Amino acid sequence: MESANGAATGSAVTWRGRRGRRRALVALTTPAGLRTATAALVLAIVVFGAFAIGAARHRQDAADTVGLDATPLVVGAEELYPARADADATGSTAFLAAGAEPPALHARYLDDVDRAGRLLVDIAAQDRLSPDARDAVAELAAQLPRYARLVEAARTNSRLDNPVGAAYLRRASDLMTDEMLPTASGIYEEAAHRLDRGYRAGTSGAPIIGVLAAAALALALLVAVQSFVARRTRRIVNLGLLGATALVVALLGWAVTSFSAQQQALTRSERDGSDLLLALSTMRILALRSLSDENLHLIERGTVSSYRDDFADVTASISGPLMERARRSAPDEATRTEIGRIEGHHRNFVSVHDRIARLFGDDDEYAAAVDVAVTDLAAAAATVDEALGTEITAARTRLDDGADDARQRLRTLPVVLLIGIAAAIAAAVVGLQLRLREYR
Amino acid sequence: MNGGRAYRMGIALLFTGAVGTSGACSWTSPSSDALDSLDELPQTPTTAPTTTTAGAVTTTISASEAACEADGMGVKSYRPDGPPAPPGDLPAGSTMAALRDAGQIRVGVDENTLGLSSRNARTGDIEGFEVDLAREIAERIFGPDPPPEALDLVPVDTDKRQVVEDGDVDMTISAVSMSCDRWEQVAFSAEYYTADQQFLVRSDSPIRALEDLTGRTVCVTAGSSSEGILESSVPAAVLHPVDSRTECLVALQEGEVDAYFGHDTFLYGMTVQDPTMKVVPGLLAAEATVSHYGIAIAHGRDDLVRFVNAVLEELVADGTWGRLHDELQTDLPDLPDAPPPTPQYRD
Repeated sequence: MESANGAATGSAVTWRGRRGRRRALVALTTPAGLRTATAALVLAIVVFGAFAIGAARHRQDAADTVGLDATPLVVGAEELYPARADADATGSTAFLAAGAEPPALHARYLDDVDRAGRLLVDIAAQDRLSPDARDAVAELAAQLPRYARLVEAARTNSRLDNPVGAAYLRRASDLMTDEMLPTASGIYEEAAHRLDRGYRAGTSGAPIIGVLAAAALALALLVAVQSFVARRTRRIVNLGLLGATALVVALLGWAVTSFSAQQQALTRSERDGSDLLLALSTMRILALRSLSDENLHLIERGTVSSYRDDFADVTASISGPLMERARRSAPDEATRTEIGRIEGHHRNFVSVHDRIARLFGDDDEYAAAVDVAVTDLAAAAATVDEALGTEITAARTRLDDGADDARQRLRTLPVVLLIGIAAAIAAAVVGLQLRLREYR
Repeated sequence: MNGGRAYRMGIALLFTGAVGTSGACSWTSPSSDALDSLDELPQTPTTAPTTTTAGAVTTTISASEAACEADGMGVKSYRPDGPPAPPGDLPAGSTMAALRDAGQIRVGVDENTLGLSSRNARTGDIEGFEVDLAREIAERIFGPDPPPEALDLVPVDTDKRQVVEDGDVDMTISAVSMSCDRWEQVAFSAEYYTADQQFLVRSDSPIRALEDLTGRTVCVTAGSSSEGILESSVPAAVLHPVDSRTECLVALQEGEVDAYFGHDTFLYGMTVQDPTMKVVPGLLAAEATVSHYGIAIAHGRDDLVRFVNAVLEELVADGTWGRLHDELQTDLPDLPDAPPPTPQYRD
């Protein structure tokens, strides 16, 4: 039984619990109740706002990481991979004295060293690098000129018919394979992990659950307060509280829609872009490594078996698991066709390698094998590299599109939330104040 | 009407709607195996780890070895039975006949030592004094002007005795210093060259006497006689063993070591390649640094050893050795003169 304006009587706030028994929370006078309600509502709406804005920030950061940080780092790390310079160095230096060294070959080697240096500067300039990545980049930046100097010493000595030239070349290639390539690999791997972390964070459910829970709490409180007010005052509709409720619901709807669209875009970015990008980048790194292996195998005249073994391992990786991954990650038919073409180019590269193996291993035709390596093998490797480069760029474009889309979706959300939360709080407070004033 | 109820129902409806909408939109979760591609990146470097076989040097000599050295058995080979038989007349069932019938003899040589045995970068062929000796031996087995595949020159390094023992080559001619201790592993021909071990330093080096080597870093080839001599004669020096002798020149040029202790046949080839290096002779007593080169041949092939000794005697007698040595001195102008060594036999 409710009393009208039960200010002095202090009737309890009741509701029907299970089995219809009336349960009482606490005996409240109406003004006290209204004041408590104001405070509780403001708190609940602010908490909802905080969760929502927090979630928006968290996801925005993740999308930014993907689009602005990790992707440029992955692509930069893959492009700088010094195996490119090594492949050209070993190709040019070893066969330099066997005839006139093609100036184009030496020029390409110098270009690659130069480019690696500039890419290192770019990567080092990224301000969100981890300390480990920063150290690795600094190390590479120190080793690159050392490598170039050793290669030059090898060339100069070879030109003078000094056998010590071979020792310098060995030193250069040891520096490359034992130190520089692992360091570069490390940078690339870390960049890829960072990209993955960005995707995880950008699509994780935890912040959303928080938002939903906070919204549920705020709405439940709004309902409770409105039913309290309706019972204690004879007004059923309180415009202020109604407005606050509508705003909270609308904000929740807006936020949910935004997050959902953002998540979709980010997922699309990963599925259509990043997966393929990683597979193709890794493939390109390994393809360059296999070219170096072949050159070094010939330089050492087959006395070092590890180069042949590595070539086999790397080739198996490319044509097996990586090609399979690439095919699976292709977003459309056109891309799948391109990947098929890349597979064909790579098969051609391997067949040139087989030809060299027959010439050198079986027929002991060293000079002929070298000739094939400097011309056909280098050309075949360049074809594979170019084709991979084109597809990597296309994958990167798709990745960037999705990431940009994701970032756009959340752009306005924090502002909308702030305004909406402020309005909701104002509406709730005003609505309750009007009732409160009647008790003075 | 019950306002509270209406409110509650309305809110519940709207909330369900919001959640439902969010559920209807695809909360697609991206693949978690995107990083699998990285598994294909190799983890280990391609080059096999270089093992410096420093353990091959014995610094303590056993009693039997001491007695062996006292008798000079380290440089005594098997006496030949006369001049080498011509190719058409090689004794049936002998190692030489078997090689002739197989059509190929495999000889281990260095490919980076200017003068003795190094690869011509232009032609790709290995040339030098030791290669010339190998060719002379081949001609005695296969006849004058044998086909190119008859003589298979196999590049060797610190494994130069091992490959003989393992049967990967038929003999090694690569500045192998004979000693009693090494006779346990392989047999040797008579001496074909007497070398001396010296120090190579940069031209501005302050090293002039043995004391100057205290605490300094000296490069040596791992497992070589030079390493053993240095360990016992100059223990205060810091040794820097490498796998291949040319690496010592690189180490000197790069400033990583203060000196290189090796055979003068190597050193004078290095001063040709780099005139800023100089040889510092006489820091150690001559008896300690002398090096008797012998051709390493597997045990059990004594007939081949005798045959090679017969060839060597003939080369000295008809002046070929002298001519080849002159060519060596043309390549290494500062190499001191040396008379052909007198062969010593154990009988």
